[in-house]
Amino acid sequence: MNIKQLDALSAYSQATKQATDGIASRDGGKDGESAFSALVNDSLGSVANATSNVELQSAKALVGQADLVDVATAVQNAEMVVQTVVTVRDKVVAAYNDILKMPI
Amino acid sequence: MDLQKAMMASASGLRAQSIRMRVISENIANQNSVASEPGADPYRRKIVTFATELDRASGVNKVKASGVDEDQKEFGKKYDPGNPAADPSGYIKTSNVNGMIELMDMRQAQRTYQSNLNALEASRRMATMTLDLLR
Repeated sequence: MNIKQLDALSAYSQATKQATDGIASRDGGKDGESAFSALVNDSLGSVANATSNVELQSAKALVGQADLVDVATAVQNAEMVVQTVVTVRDKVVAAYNDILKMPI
Repeated sequence: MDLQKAMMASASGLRAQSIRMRVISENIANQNSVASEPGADPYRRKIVTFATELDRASGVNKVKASGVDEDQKEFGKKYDPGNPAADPSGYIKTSNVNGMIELMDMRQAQRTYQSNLNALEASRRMATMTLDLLR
């Protein structure tokens, strides 16, 4: 009983290792970083940039240094970036779920 | 990305019109400003001029309030012998601001601002509609 569980455990760890190696080499990523994770990093970076710009502009507006137009355009830009990233993420997650539910 | 550039151009229009509105407000506020001593000039009306400006990074032709100049029209004259700024014959110089002209300028600034806002809104709606395609 005990030995069988251990067997299963080692088989599982081997399988996950193979899977991650395989994905990384197929994506052409380096140092275990896949192209997909690079894409996620890039888009999250642009979201962070846009939202930090919004914070900067609204803080300036609060002390009366920024134009109302600057604040409005910064907010609008951040809204567009966030919307785009969220939509693409939803789409990717939906595709992943579809593959996961595929009958084998 | 062109929609984003369109929004940048609209935003520059909004900025330019707000500068114009500021100058018009200054003119209206100083409509009755006279000189403080004899021989001195009263408030001179100010005019904003717009110029197109190429943003080289994005290739967008933005608009810019290129300068605030003074209206060279001559001052008005009013008979007011009790005023400390009156000349020996009892006249004082009044500012060359005409309320009606300022009113029309203000209306035009307002409408242009509105047009820019509408263009901005349309660009945003187009971008959102495109994004809805993915949903």
